[in-house]
Amino acid sequence: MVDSIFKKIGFLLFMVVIGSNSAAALSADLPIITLSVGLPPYPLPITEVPIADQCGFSYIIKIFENGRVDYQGFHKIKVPGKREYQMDKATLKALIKKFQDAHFMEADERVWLPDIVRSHYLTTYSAIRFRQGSQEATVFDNFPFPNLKSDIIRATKAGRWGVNEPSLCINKGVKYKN
Amino acid sequence: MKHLNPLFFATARQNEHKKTLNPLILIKGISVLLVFIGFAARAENLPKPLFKLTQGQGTEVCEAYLQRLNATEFLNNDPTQGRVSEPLLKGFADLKPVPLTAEEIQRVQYKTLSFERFQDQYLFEKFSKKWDEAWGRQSSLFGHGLIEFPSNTLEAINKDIVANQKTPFVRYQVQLDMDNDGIAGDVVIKNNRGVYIVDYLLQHIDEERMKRIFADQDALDWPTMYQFPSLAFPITVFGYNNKYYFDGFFNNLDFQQRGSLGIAHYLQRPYLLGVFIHERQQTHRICEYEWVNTAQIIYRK
Repeated sequence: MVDSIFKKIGFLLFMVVIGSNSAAALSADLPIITLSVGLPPYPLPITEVPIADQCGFSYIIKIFENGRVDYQGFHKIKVPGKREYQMDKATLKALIKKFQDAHFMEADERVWLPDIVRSHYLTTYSAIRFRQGSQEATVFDNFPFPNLKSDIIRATKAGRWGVNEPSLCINKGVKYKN
Repeated sequence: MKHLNPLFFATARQNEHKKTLNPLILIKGISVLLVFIGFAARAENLPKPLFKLTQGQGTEVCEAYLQRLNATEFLNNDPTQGRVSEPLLKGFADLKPVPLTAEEIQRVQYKTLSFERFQDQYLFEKFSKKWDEAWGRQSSLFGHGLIEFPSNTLEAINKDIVANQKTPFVRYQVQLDMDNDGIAGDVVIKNNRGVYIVDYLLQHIDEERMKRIFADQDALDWPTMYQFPSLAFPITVFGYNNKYYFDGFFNNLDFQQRGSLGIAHYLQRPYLLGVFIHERQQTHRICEYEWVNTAQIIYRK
């Protein structure tokens, strides 16, 4: 009896380990909607690199299929660090519908000249990525979906983390707001 | 009616400016110029690089790689520019590099650049095609300063081959096992900018594998981070006692720090080089070295 219980627990643990390493588990871990502004604190190699907007925010909001919202703020933001929030199902469904209604997945076709390619400079301000099944699309600087960024902020209630506030800039020792 | 010509006023203003030129500005300008000439002169006369192991003491591969690093001949004595020769010390695998032909480079060059810059090997080619459709071939992309990729003609590539004879674009004849799972199936090519895992015919980069093994996984999550967030630069691969590793320079400054501190800061910062291993689906930095005999870091665009 005890032996069979141990076997069942062992099997369960085995499945958890296998499951957590499988490709399916990894893809399920990916957010369905991501909004990032600015750049991550990534240890840079010595290469062609974008220089972050000195007056800009640096934060990321990830929304997962189960409604979990992961926020992380890094740079010149009111709330730095990690925060979590559970979005209700109806809000998530409504947000996803906005992406579908906007035909976000076809963005690549319509925005055939992404700003990043046209730009002489290797910088961008914000970007939104949307995943559905195996498909994903990314747009930069709100083009051509000017409202989706504020829709994400509203749905995740990210305003409380300061993402709507003007960021503080320091230029030659003088603080100012952009 | 010369005095009504706007050009006249512009010229007059310029002359006026010349007369009131602040000598301090002139001195500052000359100082900056001298500093840069100094750096340029030093850059041409770098001593043979010397590395010191700062993390990973006692780990066999770290100690062995230290010996190899210190015996490696780097182009212009600058380890960021490429390696002219690397000694095959005991325990290291001979990866049997052979230079790519001009046709092979032509096939893969834009894909490597496009992948590095946009994490999408096809983006540049798609963009070029659309541009040609919209504006015609006469209207060059490059002429508009939109994107700076080198010419991909065989003529230009052959010139590059001659210019880079000491550090050619190579393919390793040995297939590597970059994820150390016991299956050596990775076809790897390498130039001065790094390494790329490609298909056997050199037609495509294995983007998924590149991202899994060589990228900063947190940075990959950021859609704004559209460059390939490589863990090190330039990446070199090696095999030691039946395991495969990669190495490259890294530093601990983030974007914001670099930007705010400016060039002067990292001109003084020592280069740090790491050895990484990808095992059991994770990449770890296992050794760290400091390039100890460089007084400055050369800022290269």
